[in-house]
Amino acid sequence: MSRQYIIASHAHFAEGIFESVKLLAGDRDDVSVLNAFVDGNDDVEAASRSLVESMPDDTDVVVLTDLMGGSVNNEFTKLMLARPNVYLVTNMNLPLLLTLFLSDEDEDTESLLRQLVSSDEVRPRFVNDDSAIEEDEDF
Amino acid sequence: MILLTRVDHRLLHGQVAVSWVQGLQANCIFCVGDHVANDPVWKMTLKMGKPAGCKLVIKDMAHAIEAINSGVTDKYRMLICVQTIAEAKQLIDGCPQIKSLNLGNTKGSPTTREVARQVFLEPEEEKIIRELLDKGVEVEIRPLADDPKIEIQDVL
Repeated sequence: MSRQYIIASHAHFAEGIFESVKLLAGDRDDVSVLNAFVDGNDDVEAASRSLVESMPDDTDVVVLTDLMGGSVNNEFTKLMLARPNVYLVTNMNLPLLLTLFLSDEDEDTESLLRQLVSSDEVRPRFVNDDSAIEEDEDF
Repeated sequence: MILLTRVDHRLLHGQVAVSWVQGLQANCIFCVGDHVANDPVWKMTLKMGKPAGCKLVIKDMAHAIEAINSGVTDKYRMLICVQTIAEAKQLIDGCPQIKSLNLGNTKGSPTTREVARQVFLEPEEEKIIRELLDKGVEVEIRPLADDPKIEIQDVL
């Protein structure tokens, strides 16, 4: 099944993180962005509903939001419960988006997302603990 | 196998670690340059940020040419990064099997000309590029692996 993505957040985080994705991994035309509570987007319920409704029925809709328990994620939770093929991931970050967008497009969406959110690569890291001096690698 | 030789003044960074390693399915990144090889802090930063599952080797120019010509690098799907066009020329002069050069990021200065997004050339660098073209080396501009190639002769 083909896939469409929605990146949604409080204020311009959604647009900003997608800007970073584009810089690192290139532009794409399967992503919609929702910056809630700014630029006149005060009715998050209507904005999120019309975004999801604009997606074709035979498409997996992957929604990425900024914060569990936040109103943006809450609105998309309702939509996820109401419509099949809506997959909702929250607490998004840049490694998560990059890994997702570089993953195999033919993979099953549900198992891909389940694996992605439990991967070590997407967790915040305390870099001081990684900075032990290692030997130089050679061929 | 050398999959790509890239000029990037930041060597290994997000665009390389994300787009190029994935796009070329590389398993080895070779950062070449006398500057980086003698900068312990920069080397540590590069090592910490390298993509998972990818080998990272950092050498000065002389040792890098020696390693490539000895054949020890042949078994890797390798991506080479150098900081400058002058260093790319040194490497290609020492390793004539390199037939193609990618320009990713070069630094702008008051005397550079911007020939593409992220690529700024000093007059002497344009001269070096013409020498490479005369030797039959392809020189192309692509910031990311999926970007269309811009052949340098179209923008010089």
